[in-house]
Amino acid sequence: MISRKFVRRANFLFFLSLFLLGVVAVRVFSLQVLQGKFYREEALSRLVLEETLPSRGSILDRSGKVLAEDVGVLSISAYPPQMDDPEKIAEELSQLLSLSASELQQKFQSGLFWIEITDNAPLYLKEALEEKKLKGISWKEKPVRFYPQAPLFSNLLGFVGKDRQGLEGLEFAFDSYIAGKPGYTFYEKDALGREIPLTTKHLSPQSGNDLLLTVDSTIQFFAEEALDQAMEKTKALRGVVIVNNPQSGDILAMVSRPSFDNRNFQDFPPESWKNLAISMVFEPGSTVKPLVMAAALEEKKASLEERFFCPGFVMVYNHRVRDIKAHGEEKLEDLLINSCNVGIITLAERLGKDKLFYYLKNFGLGEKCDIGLPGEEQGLLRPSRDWSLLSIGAIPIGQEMMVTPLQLLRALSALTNKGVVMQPRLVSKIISPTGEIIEGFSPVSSGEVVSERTASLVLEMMEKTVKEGTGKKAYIEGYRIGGKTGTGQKVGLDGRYDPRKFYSSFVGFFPLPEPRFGIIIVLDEPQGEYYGGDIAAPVFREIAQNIINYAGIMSDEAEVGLF
Amino acid sequence: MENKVEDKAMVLVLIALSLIGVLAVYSVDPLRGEGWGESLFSRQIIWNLIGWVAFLFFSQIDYYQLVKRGWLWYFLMVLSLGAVLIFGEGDETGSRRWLFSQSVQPSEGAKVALALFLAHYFSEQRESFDFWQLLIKSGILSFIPLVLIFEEPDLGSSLVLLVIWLGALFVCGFSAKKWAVIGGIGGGLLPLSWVFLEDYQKDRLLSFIDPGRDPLGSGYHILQSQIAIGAGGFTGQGWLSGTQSQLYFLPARHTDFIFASWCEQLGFLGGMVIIFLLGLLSYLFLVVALRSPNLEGKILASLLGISLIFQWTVNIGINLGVMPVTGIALPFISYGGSSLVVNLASAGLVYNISKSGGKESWKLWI
Repeated sequence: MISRKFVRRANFLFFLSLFLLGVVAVRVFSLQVLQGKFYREEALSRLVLEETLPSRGSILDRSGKVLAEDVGVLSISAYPPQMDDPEKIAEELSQLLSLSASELQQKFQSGLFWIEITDNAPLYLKEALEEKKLKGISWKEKPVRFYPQAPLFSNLLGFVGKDRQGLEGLEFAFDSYIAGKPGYTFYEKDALGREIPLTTKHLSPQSGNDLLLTVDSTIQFFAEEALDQAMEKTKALRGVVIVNNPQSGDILAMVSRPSFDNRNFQDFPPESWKNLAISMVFEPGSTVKPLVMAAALEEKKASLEERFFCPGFVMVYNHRVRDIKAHGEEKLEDLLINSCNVGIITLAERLGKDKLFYYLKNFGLGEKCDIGLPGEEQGLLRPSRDWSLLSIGAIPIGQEMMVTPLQLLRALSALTNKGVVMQPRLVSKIISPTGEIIEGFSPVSSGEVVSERTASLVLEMMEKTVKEGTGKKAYIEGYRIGGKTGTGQKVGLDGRYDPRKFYSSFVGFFPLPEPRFGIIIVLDEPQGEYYGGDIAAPVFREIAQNIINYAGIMSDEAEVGLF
Repeated sequence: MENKVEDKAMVLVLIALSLIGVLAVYSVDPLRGEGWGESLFSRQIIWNLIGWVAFLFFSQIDYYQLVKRGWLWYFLMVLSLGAVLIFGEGDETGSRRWLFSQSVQPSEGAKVALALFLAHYFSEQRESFDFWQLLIKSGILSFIPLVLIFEEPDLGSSLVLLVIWLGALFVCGFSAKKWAVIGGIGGGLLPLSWVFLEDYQKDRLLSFIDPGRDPLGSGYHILQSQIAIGAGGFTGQGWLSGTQSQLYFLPARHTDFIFASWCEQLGFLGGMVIIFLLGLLSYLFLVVALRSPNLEGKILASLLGISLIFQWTVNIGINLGVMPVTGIALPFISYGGSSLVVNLASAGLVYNISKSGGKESWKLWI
């Protein structure tokens, strides 16, 4: 038997506590959920933060040579009211910093309370400054970005801004990996904004990760030199050179002109910051012909024994497509050796537009390379259903399409790699400050487009193109080199082809039969001579010769001589 | 009397609260890196172990024997509280609350001792009682320890004793009319109590009414605590983060304001977990009181329940800025050995009352 009265009292207590619970819950809800944002801001506003800059990760070439790194500098400032002897201090400082003493003294007496003297004094001055104990002079160590090889690699590396954030190139694309995390010093401030000493909390900065690239500084140097000379000689508006390992996709060098110097990028027009190797789109012209040849062979639409006849023009849907000259009777390989439009269009017509589009697409034309750099263009390869009746006479000779230099090099490299397209690789590893590999990127293929046999047949034709055809000026005695020239007309402002403006290009690979080096050269609007075989091929030759010496590639004759 | 489910639930809730207490102390432990024995959370673990031994002990013994010796506990309580005032050691707050080189706070034990004594004293009067006589006698007896604690000074604990006494009067059946009389007298005396308050206590009361009055002084606790809770948002700023508690803005963040730092880290959801567990525990205490067939058990369980409800609602209320700062710890969770052991021991007593339900047919009351 339980007292009814006690039940009533206990119930009262229940309701009392339920009520209190409700009050508490409502209050918690109102503070945290309804006014949470206000209080969060309030909490942050009470903190004073001081940022300590992290050291940014380095960027290294394939052999570990530093391309970009952080170095410490001193920023030195003066607080004149604290100075006991401004004259002497100005004298001492002028000796250390090689500045004019009288100018410094003038600054000290200008009536300003705080003067920045320099923000990039070398770090070794710190000891001297500590020793001299100049009153009213203070200094702070800070990291700045340093590019030991500059202006080499400027377009590839990009640069960092004043706040040390990557703004262009790899510095921008991989900023989240290499930037590191800033350190902070928090302290509580009282109502007067003074620091309360015991409340200080320090958070150390975290250094960024290093990037290990696939590029080779020496080859980059060769490529930049050769392109600079060519730009000067041809007065071209823009130029690109890319060197790769065609079998792995590794980028060994990447040059873009006009260029800039990333140490003082602000002195150059933003146009020059672009990396044209991935952002220039152009009509490739004849350099796509090996791809058409490969497609025709793969589909068995032509045989090596077949004979073709070139009358100097071909009719495509009541339209005359002219060739450079009447090549007369030709073997299949002669179509490439002579860069014969008529013959290649004949092959394209046999393939049909759907097959042609299928192969060109699979070779990666009009597809981004996703190399991880900012500003990459996609180019344009229209699907075959959108082709006009004339397209079958234009696309196989590299018109009515837009590609980037890197796309074109990727596509043709497949012919050296058993018909398998390799994705270009620029960054091989991301390494933490403690040396651990955070991310490793292996070569990636995007599939076989043609068979190994087809690829090697076309590569042999390209070898003959260099030895006896339009690419003769790329030939180096004693070495097996395969290549293809290209001369694409530019479209003028009126939408028609401008008969005086061209893109000249050359793509070549060596040493055959298993090339370790691929080079593409593209020159935009060269003045005077404009055939790819005349002005782009010699640039290839120049770079290839240097690489041969540098990499110690034996000539075939030397190998023969060994036996 | 079948109450197995409630018993199990009580033990589970207590375990959860113990764990949350250790986690909460760990999350704001200024000596976290100091290792075993030095860091606060490791001491909290040790106190928890001792507390659970106390729980087991008090849940097994014959609690009726304890209640019967009510006067003994009363005198021990008064003696130890007197000893604190004479021999006591101060702490960083300037109050004298400790005995035995800052290891025991008799004011914590006084909460259970008074509950035991009042359970005995009121149940003795079960046959017949004279309202005014009982009110005055029990009032005087309760006010002796209350004043001793108030003199330490420890406003929070003396308020808990006051509430235990009022709770005893309430559960023992005074009519509403008489409550009105008591309320009237109490209300009339309240302004007088201002005279007895220490300066800092007055400051706190004024700051409660207007926290902006002295934002870096006495209003500081209230503001910082509200900011911490508010900054937590719905899901919190994350375990071991939150600028208010991690960067030492929040005072007493491992003791009286542990709820605020918990809420900053784990948000509304985290706060609701604590409130739910404490609410459930209070409910279970009252259920035990309701079901206990004998008067001693009823009074003791309800007094311990009332004391629990008062402590956690006032503590959380202080954290939320809806009650003035009075220095009351959050039961089971705040850092502090005496309070933790006493709370677990009282939980053991309530568990005991529940378990031994109808073992003996003591005389029913009313």
